[in-house]
Amino acid sequence: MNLKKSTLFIIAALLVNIVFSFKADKAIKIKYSKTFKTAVPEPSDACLSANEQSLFVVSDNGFLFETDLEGKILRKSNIVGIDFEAICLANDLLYISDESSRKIYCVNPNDLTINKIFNLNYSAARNSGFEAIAFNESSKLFYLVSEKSPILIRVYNEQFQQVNEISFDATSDISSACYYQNNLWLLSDEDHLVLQLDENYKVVKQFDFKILNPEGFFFNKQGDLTVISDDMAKLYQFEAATIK
Amino acid sequence: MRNIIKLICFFILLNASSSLAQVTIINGSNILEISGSISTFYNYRWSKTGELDKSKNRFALRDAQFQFEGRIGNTWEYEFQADLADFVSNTTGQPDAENPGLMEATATYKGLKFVNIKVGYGKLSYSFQALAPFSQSPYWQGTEVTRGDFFSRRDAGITLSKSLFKSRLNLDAGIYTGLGEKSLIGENDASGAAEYVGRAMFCYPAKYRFRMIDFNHSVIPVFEVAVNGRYSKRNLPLGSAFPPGSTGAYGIKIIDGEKYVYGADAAFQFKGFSVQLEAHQIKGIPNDTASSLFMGTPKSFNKGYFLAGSFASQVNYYLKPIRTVFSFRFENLNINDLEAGYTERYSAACAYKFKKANAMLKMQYYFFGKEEAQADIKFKQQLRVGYQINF
Repeated sequence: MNLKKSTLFIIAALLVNIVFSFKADKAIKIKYSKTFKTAVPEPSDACLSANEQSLFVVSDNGFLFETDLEGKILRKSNIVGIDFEAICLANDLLYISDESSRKIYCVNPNDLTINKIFNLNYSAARNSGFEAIAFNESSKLFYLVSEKSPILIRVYNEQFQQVNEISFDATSDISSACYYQNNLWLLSDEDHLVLQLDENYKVVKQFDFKILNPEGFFFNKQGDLTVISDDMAKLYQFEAATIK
Repeated sequence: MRNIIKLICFFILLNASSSLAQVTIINGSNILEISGSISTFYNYRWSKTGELDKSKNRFALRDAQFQFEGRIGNTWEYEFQADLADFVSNTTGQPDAENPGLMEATATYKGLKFVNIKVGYGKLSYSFQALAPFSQSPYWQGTEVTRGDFFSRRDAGITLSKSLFKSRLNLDAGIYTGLGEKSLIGENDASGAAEYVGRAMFCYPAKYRFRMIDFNHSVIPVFEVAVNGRYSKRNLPLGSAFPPGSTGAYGIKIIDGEKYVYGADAAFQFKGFSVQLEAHQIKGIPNDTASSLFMGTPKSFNKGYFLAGSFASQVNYYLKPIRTVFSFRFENLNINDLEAGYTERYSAACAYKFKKANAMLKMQYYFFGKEEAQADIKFKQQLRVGYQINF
């Protein structure tokens, strides 16, 4: 192959790559209606309390807080983890994922003390552990999702015995998960997307928004969406009508 | 040139077979992550007329690194990083300040609420360009001033760090041997002096990471501005000398006398577009009035000191749909103001980021606009193409 043909071959290969890389933008763009600053340092995820009157917020430094619905700190737990990245409410208990140590802390929401600790095995990079946790009330199954490289959705029973593992490659990363209206929902920090998945873990809807470093999200009973930004230490609220 | 094209085709084929292999080992509150990286390139130089040495036209292994990063609860963090490729190459010549073999061996104590304390040998908190990791850069070589001939990139010592206002203000201060990469010989120079380094960085509206490229396409504009400085005063006893190779290519990395280095940098990123600006000035006050650093000028002309300086600007864009970075850089370098002239270098870089691995195919080209005589540049242009993978 001579120099001219080699150069043309490379240019053609790059053009093919460019054509197939541009995908139709299927994401629905949504805008938040309210924002609240929180004093929680580096908030990485949150969930609503059972009565939906307060939030439980975890931080990158391994702390757990209870705040009001606008992010004002009401109390702080004495629990000190290493790198809390995800939280969900299941069977009236809080379940927190400590990403670096691969531990799941089961916490009593009344006194914010540890009820039980589960140790999980996951040997990938320290900061690419379980970044997201969600609970399906119907099936009584937990979904733990690794951040990236690769993104794995692991399904566990209530004793944290693994029952399934799904590889997911629709986004660059996953930073949070939530189970809402019989669907698993995922949040991508790098792609700024909230994704609705079907029972086969395929993306059925995706919502695009402009928030820096979104690390956590949840829905309330009215269907309003709240996204938490770690870098900005802010809560962003989207009205239910925008998530259709 | 044909070799370069074949190399590009080979690297594109690598895309299909790449995978990640970072491993984390956990024992209670002890967490240890093992990772590494490999990078290799082909380098081609267009020599000046009459220059017969073509030894820089070659394939080369740049990095064969392994890294251990660990933490013990929330109190201690430690890091050990070494490059086997540099260990081998350094046995046959002078250590390369940009690739010194041992790259990091530090422990950080985070048990004090008001400050973190880092001890050991590692990167100094000075210069955005020097602190940005190579693995995240589209370039094969950093700016000339940060490559280790003007001031050290790494040293042994102690660093105090404090982050305020949700990491929007980051302060670092430290004391080091001043010998830089040569501190690994285990002894100071005969002056027994130290170097003091400090940096203050302000970010807004959120913390700014040491990254040249906005791979995440930041949805809001984020910027940082920083000032940093270094100071050392060394008085070599009569008849003694600095360890071989410690003064850098131009004899100003450490000097017998006082040395001040001031620098400032700014960076910005938004929707894949990013910019870095950086300037440095070095003021050297040699003890010996007959020092070669005065370039043979009388004291009435040099006033007892010399200046060196550099300015660099870099513009980058990450085209996300094709996972490709395009970058341009301009550098102006003055090695010594007592000698006429300065060097200008124009660089362009392009890097393709592979999808299923933390890997990049990188290409950097540069040429010189102006040349300072002291720089002794033996070529007109350089092209470097290669592949890096972090695992």
